Amino acid sequence: MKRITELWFLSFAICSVLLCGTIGCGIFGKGKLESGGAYTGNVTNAPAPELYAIDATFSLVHSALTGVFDYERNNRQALWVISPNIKKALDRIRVEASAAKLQFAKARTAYKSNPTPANLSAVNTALAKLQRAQAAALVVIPLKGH
Amino acid sequence: MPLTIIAWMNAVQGLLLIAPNVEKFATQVRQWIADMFAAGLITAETQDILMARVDEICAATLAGQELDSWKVEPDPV
Repeated sequence: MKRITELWFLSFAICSVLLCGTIGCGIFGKGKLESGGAYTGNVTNAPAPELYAIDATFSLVHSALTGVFDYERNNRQALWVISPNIKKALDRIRVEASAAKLQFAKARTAYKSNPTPANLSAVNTALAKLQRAQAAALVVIPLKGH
Repeated sequence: MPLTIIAWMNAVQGLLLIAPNVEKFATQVRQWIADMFAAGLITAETQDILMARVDEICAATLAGQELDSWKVEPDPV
């Protein structure tokens, strides 16, 4: 059972990293934004493909992090018996991820109202922190918190 | 090359389909993959949904709200 859980989390981690990396490729390579949508100028002045790629990546990263945190919280007693380091490691990531999410929210708000390269860089910096937290979170359970 | 990418993405979708507890995540991924790689067009509806979701998360974060599972809670006894 533990082996299945480890394999599932490793598969989940690999899929998440690959998908987050390809979202941007899909947008800039082939995908087109239908006019009339939220990213085509009606809601925000920010450049559409950039903001869409940022939001799509953030949404996936946030879902992946929430999935790991939910899984640990819902199975805390069992995972604590396997290794207390799992919760301790995820608690450290929770703190980092929450701080990065707040930084992202502030930077995204600034970028939407004033889409300058500096503000875009700030959003991407915060997003990179969240992606690092996601990558770290996804391997905590397979590695038993080590 | 595009066929390789599509085949690769199908494999990823297959992995996601067998993963339990991530139905919402997998549904989002499948929708985006369908939008970007099959139709080549991200619909206005999909854009609106994504914008609303990220706006909601950011607004809650800026208001100091956090999901329970993101909070650090006491260790089990």
